[in-house]
Amino acid sequence: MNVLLAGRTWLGREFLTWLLWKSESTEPITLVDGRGVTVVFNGKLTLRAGSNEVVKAQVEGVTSPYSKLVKKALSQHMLVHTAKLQVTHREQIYDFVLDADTFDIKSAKLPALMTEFDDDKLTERLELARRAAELIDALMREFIDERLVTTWTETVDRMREWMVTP
Amino acid sequence: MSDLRKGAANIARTGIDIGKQEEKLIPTDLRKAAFQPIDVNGDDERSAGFVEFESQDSTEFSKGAVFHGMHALFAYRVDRLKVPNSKIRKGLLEWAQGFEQRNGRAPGRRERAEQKEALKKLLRKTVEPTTKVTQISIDLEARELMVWTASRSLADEVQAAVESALDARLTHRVPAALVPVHQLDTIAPTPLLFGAQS
Repeated sequence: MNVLLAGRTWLGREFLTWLLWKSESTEPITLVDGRGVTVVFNGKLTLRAGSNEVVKAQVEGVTSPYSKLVKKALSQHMLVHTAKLQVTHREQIYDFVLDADTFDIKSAKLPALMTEFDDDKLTERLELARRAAELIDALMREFIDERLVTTWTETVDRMREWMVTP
Repeated sequence: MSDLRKGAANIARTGIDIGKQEEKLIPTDLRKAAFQPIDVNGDDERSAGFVEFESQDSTEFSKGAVFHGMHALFAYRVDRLKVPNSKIRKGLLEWAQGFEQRNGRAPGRRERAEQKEALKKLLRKTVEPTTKVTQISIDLEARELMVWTASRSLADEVQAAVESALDARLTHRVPAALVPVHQLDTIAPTPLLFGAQS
């Protein structure tokens, strides 16, 4: 596999931290097929730091990702490493866990199947898995587009402001 | 285990670079890397390879069995055959007692080791291998490989096996993969997020 990408977990952590910040407004973060994609962090969240006194912290609870405690930890240079997310697109809801190392889709609850026939069910599950992957890719693309432009420092300033705002 | 048909999904996904011509050869390639059962007369404790999606005992890989619309579906089977240590210990103890009665002395270290090996070989024939099957889907349109497992080590093994069997190139689906190659070396962790020391 592509060795160039090895050792870049930090970018995955920046992405998940950016996504947490973006998601608090509940506004769509990006568009897929012309329709908004909204994200809510709604469960267990793991934070990691490279060289802090505390290198790993974990919170649990539906609203805990947006708690003061998490913002405080982020302001002290911890970043989101693993998160449980709910992604909504076209009124379909996808629940899953992502981690900054691999971005494997874990414990995913895909939208309910509409079809009744076994063969069609398989096709539909494959389509839903594909759609979940597309949504994650679209969110990552949105982040990378913002990350690579010179205004990234302004974005970071706004993120830091949010971290210290109760 | 994660089931493609139902329940919570655990998916290790990568991009897969495979040509249109090679696509057609997927069944042939899978046949070449098909699962082979463990030989109970041999020494191998593990065997791994590809099997059909619908049947963990089939390795014919007809086109009908592999292609499902715009997807290729198959599975990776890992069998393990290990004689439990408790069985070997029990057999060895019984043998040692018999040996002592016959010879008027306890068996030596070398005799014990030889018996242990012989016992292991004998008991292999009485032990059923454990089987683990991992489902795999390739979206031929989106060029995406999905390994339906929550185990990272198994996902790594399956991805490497697919890469080798199909002679395909896999790419991680992580944010760094979306950064243009010429910019990969120029971006660094954001100091204000990671702290000045990062």
